[in-house]
Amino acid sequence: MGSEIKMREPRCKGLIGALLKDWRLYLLLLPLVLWFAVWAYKPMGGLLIAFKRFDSSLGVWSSEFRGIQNFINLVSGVNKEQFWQAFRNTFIINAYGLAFGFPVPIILAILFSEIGNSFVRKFTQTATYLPHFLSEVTITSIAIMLVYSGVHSTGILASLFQELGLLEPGVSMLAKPNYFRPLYIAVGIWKESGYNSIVYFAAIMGISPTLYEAMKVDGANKLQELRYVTFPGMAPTLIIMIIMRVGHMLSIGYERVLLMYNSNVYVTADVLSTFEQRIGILSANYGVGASVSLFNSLIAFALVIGANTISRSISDTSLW
Amino acid sequence: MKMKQVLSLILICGLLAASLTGCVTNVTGGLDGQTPTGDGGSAVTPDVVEDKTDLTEHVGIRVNYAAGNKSRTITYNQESPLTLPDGTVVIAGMLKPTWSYLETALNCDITDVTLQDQKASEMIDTGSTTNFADANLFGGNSIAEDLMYYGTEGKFVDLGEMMAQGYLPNFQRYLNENPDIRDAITAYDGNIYYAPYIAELDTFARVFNIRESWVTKLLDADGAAYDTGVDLTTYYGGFYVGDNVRAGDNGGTVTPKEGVEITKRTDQSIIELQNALAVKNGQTLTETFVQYIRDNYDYDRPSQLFLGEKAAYDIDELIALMRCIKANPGYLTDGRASVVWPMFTRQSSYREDLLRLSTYFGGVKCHSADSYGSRWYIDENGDVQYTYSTEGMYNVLRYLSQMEAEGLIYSDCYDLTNKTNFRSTLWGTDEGESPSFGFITFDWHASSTADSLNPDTVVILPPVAKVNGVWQYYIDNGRAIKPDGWAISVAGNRTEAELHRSCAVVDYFFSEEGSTLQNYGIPMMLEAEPYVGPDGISYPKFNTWTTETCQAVAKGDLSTFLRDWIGSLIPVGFQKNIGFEYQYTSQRGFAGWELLQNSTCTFATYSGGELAGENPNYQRMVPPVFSLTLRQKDAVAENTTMEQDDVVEGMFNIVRYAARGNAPDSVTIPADYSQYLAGFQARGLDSYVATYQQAYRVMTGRS
Repeated sequence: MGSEIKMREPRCKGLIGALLKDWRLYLLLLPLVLWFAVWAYKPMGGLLIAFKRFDSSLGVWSSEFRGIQNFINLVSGVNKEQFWQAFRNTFIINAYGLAFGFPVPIILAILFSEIGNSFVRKFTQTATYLPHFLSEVTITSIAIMLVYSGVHSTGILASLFQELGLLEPGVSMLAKPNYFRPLYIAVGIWKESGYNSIVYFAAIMGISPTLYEAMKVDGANKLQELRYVTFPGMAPTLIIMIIMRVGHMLSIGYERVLLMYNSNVYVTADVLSTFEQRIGILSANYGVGASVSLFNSLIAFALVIGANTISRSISDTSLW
Repeated sequence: MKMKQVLSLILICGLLAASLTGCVTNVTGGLDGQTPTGDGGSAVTPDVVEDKTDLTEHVGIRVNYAAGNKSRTITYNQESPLTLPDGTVVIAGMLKPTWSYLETALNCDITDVTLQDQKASEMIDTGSTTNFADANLFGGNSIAEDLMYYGTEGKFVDLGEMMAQGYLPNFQRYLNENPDIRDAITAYDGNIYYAPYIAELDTFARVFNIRESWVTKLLDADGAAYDTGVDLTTYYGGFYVGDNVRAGDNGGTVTPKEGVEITKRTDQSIIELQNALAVKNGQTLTETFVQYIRDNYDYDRPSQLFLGEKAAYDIDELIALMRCIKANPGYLTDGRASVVWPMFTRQSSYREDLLRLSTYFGGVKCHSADSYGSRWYIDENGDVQYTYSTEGMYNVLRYLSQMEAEGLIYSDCYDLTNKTNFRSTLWGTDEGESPSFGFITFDWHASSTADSLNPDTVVILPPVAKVNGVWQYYIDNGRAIKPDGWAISVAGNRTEAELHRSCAVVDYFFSEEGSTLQNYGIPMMLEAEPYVGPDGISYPKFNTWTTETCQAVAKGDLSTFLRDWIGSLIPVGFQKNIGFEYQYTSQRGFAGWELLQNSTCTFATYSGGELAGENPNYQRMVPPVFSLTLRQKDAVAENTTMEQDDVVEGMFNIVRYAARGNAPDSVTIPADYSQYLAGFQARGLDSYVATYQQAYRVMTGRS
C-alpha cells in the first residue's frame, strides 16, 4: 500500500507523444473522425454544384463552371418570389417553433420532476416519449386524418372546429394556408416535446437537493423555487439548446412539410428545404437547388456564431 | 486488461465498418471505347433493309425498367405464387411470365437490375451518373423527354442508325406505316432514341359517361314528385346568352348523325329561364327545363336531348340538367341521400379533366394531347401556343367557379390531398350502407361502363358547340403516344452481340408475336379461337384460366392482372391493341362505342383529320414530349416557372373562390384577365412559349 506508483514517461514528446500516450482514446475517436470525414466533409465537394451547370452524366468536376450565376438566378431571377417566400416561411415557422415549441419540453420536464410517485412519473414520461419513436409518416398521417375535412369524411379535430364555427364545413384545413403553421407546430410539439424534455429533466435532476431544502427553510414557495433554483440550475443547458436551436433557424424537418403541404398552401408552408427539393430535384435544376442549400448553410453558420458570441458576452455559457 | 483491449478493438472495428456502410465505388467514367452509334442526321430509311437479326448466340440482357411501383416492374413481386396453366409456379423474385417467355423467344437471359420501387425519373438521374452503363435497356413511365435528351448527349443508341444497318425491322416497318409517330419521337438532331408506348391511335379516348336512369327519371316522368326542399342559389349566368344566344345560324340546327338534323326552335336560354325563377327547387327547376325542351325540340321524350344518337344539348343545357339533379337528391336516390354531386372526376389527380369542358365554351383549347402536362395547341400557322394563359381559358375558369358555387362539382376533386377514387365512391356505392351519388364524369368509357361499377352508366355524345368556328360534335381528346418507353444504352451494351440482342428485344414487341405477348400475355393464357370484336376484327381471346385467375387475384381487373402478375401491358415500346379493351367492355360500353362511331363526333388525332373550321390544325394533337436542346432546357429552367405545380393550383383557386368571393387572405384571385395573364408573364410565359415554338419547328422540320 505504501509503494509509490511510478508513471512511465512517454518516449516521444509533442503530438506523437500525446498520441502514443493516449492511443486507446484516439483509437476510440477514430471511427467518429472517419464518419465525419466520409459523410460530412467529403460530400461538401458537392457544393461546387452551386457554381456549375450541373450535368449528372459529366459529374461535378466536369460540369460547366458558371460562377455565381445560380445565386443571381435565385435571388433576382424568375424564382425569386418563391425563394424569398420560402426564406420567410422558414424563419417564421422556426420562430413559431421557438416561441411555442421550445418552452413545452421545459415545462414538461419541470412537471415530471414534481411528480412524486416514481411509477406515475415513469409511465407519463414513457407515454410522452412514444410519439418520437413513431415515424414521421405515421405521426403526420394520423394528424392529417384528424384534421381532414372533405365532402364525405371529416376528422375529429376538423369536426370540433366546425362545431366551434372556426371552419367551414367541407373545407379541408390542409388546403387553407392559414392553418398550416399552427398544424405544423402542433404536430411537432406532439411528436418531440416528450423526448426533448429528457435533457431538461436531466438538468433538473442535476441540481443539488440541498438548494431546494434551503429554499424551503427560507419559506420559499414553488414558484420561487423555480425562479431562484430550477431555472438558474438549468441555465447552461437552456442556453446551449437555444444556441443550437438558433443554428437551425434555417433548417426545418422537411419530411413533415413534404407530407403535409400541397401547392395550395405554398404561401405559408413552402420552406427552403422543400423549395430546394422542388427546384433542385423535381425540376432537375441542380445548380440553383444547390445554391439554395449553400445559402441556407452560410446563414445558419452565421446565426450560430452570432448566438454563441452573444451568449458568451452576456453569460458564462457558450459552445466554444 | 487484455480482454478489455481486445473488446475495445472489436468495438472500434464494428463502429468503423458501420460508419462506412454505403461507401461504394462511384463509376462515373463509363466504359472506354463506347461511342454513340448514331452520328447525327436522320438515319431512318424509308424501306426496310435486310433483317440482320441473329438469335443463334445466347446473350445476357440487363433491363432497368422503373415504374415507381414494384408491382409494375418485370419482376414478379406478389406475395402469393402464381401457378400457370402448365403447372409452372412463379414466385416473388422471378421474372414475370411475359419476360420469361421473351427469354426463350429471343434466346437470351434477362436480368432485372431495377431498384424495384424506384421512380423512373430517379432511375434516369441515377443512371446518368454512370452513363447508363448498368443495363442494356432503360425504360419507365414519363421519361421520354429524358431519353431523347440523353440520346442527343450520346448516351442512348440511335435506333434509326440501327434500322439502317438492318436491325429493328419490325419497329422500322411500324414507323414507316405511322409517320406521325416517327415525327413525334424524333429528337431535334433528327435521330430516334427510344421506342414509345403507344395507346391505340385514331380512336376515342375519354368520353362523357352518365347515370342514364337519372335523366329519364327527371325528364320523362310526368307528374313526378320532385324535391322541393333544396332552394338552389344560382351563380352561372349562361354562355349562350346575349349576343351569343343559340338560335338560327348560331347552332339552331345541328347534325349529331349523318341524316339526322336537330333544330332548336326558339332563342330561349334555359339558364336565363331557370335564373328567373323566384324559387329554384327541384320541382321548379326541372319542370321549367322539361317545358323548355318541349318548346324547343321535337323529341319523343325530353331525355333524348341527352341520350342516344339524337342528342343535341349544349353546355348550358347540360348545366341546367346538373342543377335539376342537384336540386332533386331525394327523388333521384329514393330518399337514400340528401346531397348528390352532378359532376366529378375519377380522382383529384384527374382534376384537369374539368378544364377539358373548355371545348364546349366556344371551342377553347385546353390539352391537345392526352396528358395533362400537354398545355399546347397548334395554331393556323403551325406554331404551338400555350393554352392555360388564354382569355378563353380564364373565362372557362370563371364558369367552372360558378358551377362550383352552385354545388354542381364534387369539390373534393380539387383537393390533391384526397386520394380517394371518386368514381368508385360516387358510382359504386349505391347499394352500400353509406351511399354517395354522382352523375357525370369525363373518363375512359370501358372502365366507366363496367358492370361491376354501376349497371346504370352509359356513354353520351358530347355537348354540341361552336368548335373551331363551326357548330359540331367534337372531343378534344384521343388515344395518344404516351411519354413512356425504353431506350438502348450505349455504355451498357459492351459487345456487338449485346447491342444487337437489345435491338431484337426492342423490336420484338412490334412484331405480331411480340405484340400479342405484350398485349395479351403468354400463349397459354389464350384460346385457340380468336375473339371477334364489335369492329369485326379478330383478336386473341383470353381463356378461362385467365379470367378466373384474374377474378381471384385481381378482383377481375384485367389490366392490373396483366401488368402486375403476368408482366404484359408494361409501357415499354409497343402499341396497345384495342382487342384487350374489348374483352372487358360491357354491353353498355359497346353501345357507347357504337353511338360515338356512328355519330358525326370527331376527336383529336396526330394527323389532324379534317375538322371543319378556321384553324386547319385545331384537331391535331401535339407530340407527347418535345425534344429540347441543352440551351432550351436551360432557358426553361432559368427563365420560367411555368412547369411548377402551383400553376394549376392557382387556376383551381379561381374555380374554388372566384364566384363566391370567399378566398382566404393568403390566396390571390386575379380580378380580371389582364391580372391572370400577368401572373403567367411573371412566370416567364413569353420565354417559355418561344422556346417550345422553336423546338416544335425543329421537330416538324420548319427550322
